Amino acid sequence: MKEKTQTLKKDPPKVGVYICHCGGNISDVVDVEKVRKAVENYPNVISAHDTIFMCSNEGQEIIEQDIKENGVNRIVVASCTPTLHEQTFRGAIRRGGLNEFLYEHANIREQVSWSHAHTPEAATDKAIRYVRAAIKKASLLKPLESIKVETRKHAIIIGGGIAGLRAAIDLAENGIMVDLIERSPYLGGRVAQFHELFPLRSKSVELIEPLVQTALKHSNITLHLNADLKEKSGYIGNMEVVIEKFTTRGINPQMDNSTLQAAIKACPIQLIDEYTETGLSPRKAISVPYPANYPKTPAIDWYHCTRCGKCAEAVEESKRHLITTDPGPSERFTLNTGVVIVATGYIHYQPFEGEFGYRTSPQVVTLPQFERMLSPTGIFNKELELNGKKIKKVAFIHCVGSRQINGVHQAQSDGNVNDYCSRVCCTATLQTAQDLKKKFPKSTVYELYRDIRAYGRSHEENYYEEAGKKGIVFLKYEGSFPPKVTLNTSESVYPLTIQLTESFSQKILDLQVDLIVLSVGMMPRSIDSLVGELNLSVGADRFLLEVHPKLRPVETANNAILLAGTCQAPMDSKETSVAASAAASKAAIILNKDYVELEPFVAKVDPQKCNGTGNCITQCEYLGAIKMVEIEHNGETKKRAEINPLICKGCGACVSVCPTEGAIDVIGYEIHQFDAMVDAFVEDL
Amino acid sequence: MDSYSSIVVGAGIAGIQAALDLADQGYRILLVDKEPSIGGKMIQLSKVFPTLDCSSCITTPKMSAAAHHPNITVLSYTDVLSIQGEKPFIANLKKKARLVDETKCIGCRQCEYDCPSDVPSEFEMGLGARKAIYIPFQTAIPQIALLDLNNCIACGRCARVCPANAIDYSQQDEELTIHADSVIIASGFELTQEPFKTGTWGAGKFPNVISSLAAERLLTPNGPYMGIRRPSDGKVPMSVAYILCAGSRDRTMGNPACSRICCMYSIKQAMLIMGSLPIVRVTLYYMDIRAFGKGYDQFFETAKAMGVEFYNRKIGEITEDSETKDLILRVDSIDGNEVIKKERHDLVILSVGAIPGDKLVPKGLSLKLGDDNFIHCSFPTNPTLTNQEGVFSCGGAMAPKDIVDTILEASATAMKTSNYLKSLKK
Repeated sequence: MKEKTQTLKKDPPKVGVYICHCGGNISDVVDVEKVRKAVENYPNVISAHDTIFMCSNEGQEIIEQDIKENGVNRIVVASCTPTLHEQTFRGAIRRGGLNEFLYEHANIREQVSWSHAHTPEAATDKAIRYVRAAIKKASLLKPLESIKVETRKHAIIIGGGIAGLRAAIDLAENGIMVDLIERSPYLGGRVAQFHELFPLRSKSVELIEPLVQTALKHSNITLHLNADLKEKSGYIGNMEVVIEKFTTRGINPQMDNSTLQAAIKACPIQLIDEYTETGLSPRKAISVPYPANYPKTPAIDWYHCTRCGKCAEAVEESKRHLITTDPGPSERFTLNTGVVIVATGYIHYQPFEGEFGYRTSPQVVTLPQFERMLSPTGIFNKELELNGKKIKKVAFIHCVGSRQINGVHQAQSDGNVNDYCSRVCCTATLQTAQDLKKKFPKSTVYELYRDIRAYGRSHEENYYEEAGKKGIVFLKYEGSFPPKVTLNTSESVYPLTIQLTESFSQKILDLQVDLIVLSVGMMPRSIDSLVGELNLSVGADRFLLEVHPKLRPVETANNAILLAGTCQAPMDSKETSVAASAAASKAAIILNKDYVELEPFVAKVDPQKCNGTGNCITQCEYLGAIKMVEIEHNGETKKRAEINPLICKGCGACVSVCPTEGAIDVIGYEIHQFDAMVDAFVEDL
Repeated sequence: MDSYSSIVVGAGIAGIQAALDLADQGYRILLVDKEPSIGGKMIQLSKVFPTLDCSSCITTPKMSAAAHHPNITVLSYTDVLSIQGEKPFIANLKKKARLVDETKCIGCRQCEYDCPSDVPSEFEMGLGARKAIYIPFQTAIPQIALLDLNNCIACGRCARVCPANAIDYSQQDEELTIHADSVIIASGFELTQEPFKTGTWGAGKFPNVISSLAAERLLTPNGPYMGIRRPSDGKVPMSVAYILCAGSRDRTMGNPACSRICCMYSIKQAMLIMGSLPIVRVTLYYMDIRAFGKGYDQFFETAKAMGVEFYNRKIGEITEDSETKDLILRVDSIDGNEVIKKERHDLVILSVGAIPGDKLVPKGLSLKLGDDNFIHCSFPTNPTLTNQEGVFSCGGAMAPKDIVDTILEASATAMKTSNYLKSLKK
């Protein structure tokens, strides 16, 4: 903060009021001029303005000028929510040379014009009261200093997929120490599951391997596999994070393949959404890595293993020592860090049993399964045959588990339907369908779609146009009339029938096919404990929520926690890399400063009045924010509450339970200030 | 000679965000734009999807933050003539003459008020007027006037009324050379003029066929008509048609690519029209609705629920009713092989696509372009790197992109640039 802030002890309050039209957002409902007139002669007000965009440079300059030239020493801005532009206006006040906390904000957009759009007169009345209350409070404000704390030049990244690796390398190259925490025994994440990814047709190995190698070699990066974040305390720049980690991988790399396969076969745990090389059977708690995974040795996923011991029982006694069936208690250690980047990724939508014939017919598979089946190591690499039967006709059904409609699509067990678009499945399907056509030109390929969203660079030309040229048949259906799949009798030539109302012709078609591929969408991974521990916000789509998609796109409400990649929304591997680098940039901005400034709005105790009841401590949600200390007073030892301003969030819960008036208060939000605001609200206009 | 950590070419939302991220990391940035104000295309928009924030509420604070940042120098109305060499790069710039002394102009607009010459405003897409001497728009940065000699009648009034004595009719373009350790190309995309050049759908011939950016201006509260009016007669439209993929996904228009933004901005505009006019029909003629981003498909569903009509058909041809200036649209099947019906609308908006500008890459750089003539990148996990070391890019310069994706890319490119700058120090 600038040192030359004006001292205001002797100056009487001179309030400047700045009312924003918000380009019509406010002024279409609220009579802004009337509001200005109603406050310009209000006590302490010496200047009142209204302008179309208060947040613009022009608007900010009015404030600066008023401070510099007209002696305004308290600022009231009436505009949108302070979450958007509080910092903008504080900057203008600083530039004017005034203490930035001599500022009160009235939200007359979200709380007035938007919520009372159909009653403009009442809205104007409410806006006047809001602004007057803000003036009353502003008149009572005192200059404050923000709390400065040193930053730890260290980041924790949760998730070892493409997003986590990308962010880790970006930060490490910037001179920041990074600990990367991955829950599974492998690095590589979701990308490693695929053979080849659009838009550049990169092999997953080509994407992941260079990142892994760079991360392994970089002295600033420490990797932790089979590890999880357990606790977090502290604040931006200065957190203590407890990590739990299993150090043994469970399988001795010396183990021969047949023994390993026997152990895997015996494992009763089936990981949904993880596929073996052939594509059809799910991965187990013991697994061999995909080619793009690191390390290249098999391992037990201790977070899914139930320690049942069946794997060891299934192998020859002489080889049992090569398996560790119990890793023992996990190791726990604490890391001191400045920021946490969440890069926990996504899961694929799991169709219900019977949804488009899934799991009721072996001829219905999901796109990620089919992609592996068609890969060079998959069962469809050479022959398009399933259980000895030639496959001639394949239908891809788009939007399975995406763009769902309440009442049309069956809800999941938590009552939700996925009403969002999963963004990547259209082009992923186009690519796989093309690969199928390339490998087996005689096959008939249908794509049943709602809209083809080949939006990305070159997707239209290289995938959608190309699919048409290759003879793939596109059939459009409406979301409210999804195709119906029925299983044919064993005598039928084709095992499956798809009944479809084709959008353009409005004709009902019966398609006979050998195989159906469901283009399943993306879902947020269930990370409830992490959401709780890090206090993350979750959107209506259940993905993690950013503060604002344009103003703070990778930041969360807790400014120490950043988001990277598909934990936030569906994206492809290229977009994920961009998002991860963006999160790294925001982390670098925080960590490259030597200190972080925290808001001064924390609780304060008046030791003269505090009686040491401890009610505040019982009520406080932030561990360590208030503690009881013993002080000597007139020869007596008394208990008094004491605040740790670094932990206190200024929520005011302590104030509401304190039995002694004036013993505890929140700086900048004091009881007598609220009293004055209430008086202003109820005044006659 | 001035030297900077990075020169950012283009001060639209991409360039501004990249500059801010780098400046916040402590680097000295030169932010250059060819236009008289920074802000790019975003500052011309009314509201933005999917949150429906007013565009100014997002852009102007970022513009202001860049202008006030101690580590950022803004040069507007400046062409980048060339960027040569490496370590450091040497940039030759041309500061175009405003014919107004920037050190004196106080942005009072007195010259503008007194100027007698009215000119169609570029900012208002020709729907409104500006003066021959003018500040480009209300929230422009910098707030410094410029004189457009082509339309000046040399009456000398501006010089007489200027209280700061800032008008300088003899001012010349100024060339300057700077050093920069890195380059960020954020010069964005252009909107295709192809329908207007070819007269397709009556564009450029019929006054009530307008581009989507012109519609954007009509929807702005402080826009040229202070409301939605059709250009021919100022009538409030009753039936508005959008033609999507106008100049995109269309090889006959020279652009086979999807422009990525048009579906969503058209839906947004349709919603805004529905919201501000009590009785209006809005119909979108589309190929596929590509509402792919976070919250976009839900936005599309909301538009449908509001009553916006979506019609999966192509428009083959438009004729004008010479009396009413209404437009008659020939609605074809999506493959173009069959005429389905004719439909009358009183305002037609072409959702024009995004194409690369012809001055995308400054002379002297050896950047590879893709088949689409946007800047090429062949690094799948580093999508903001170019083929030239020390040169980075982001946003519309690397193919069309919406604001959300552009802002993310700008921060990502800042990270790459920051790491490159760190590696130079070693």
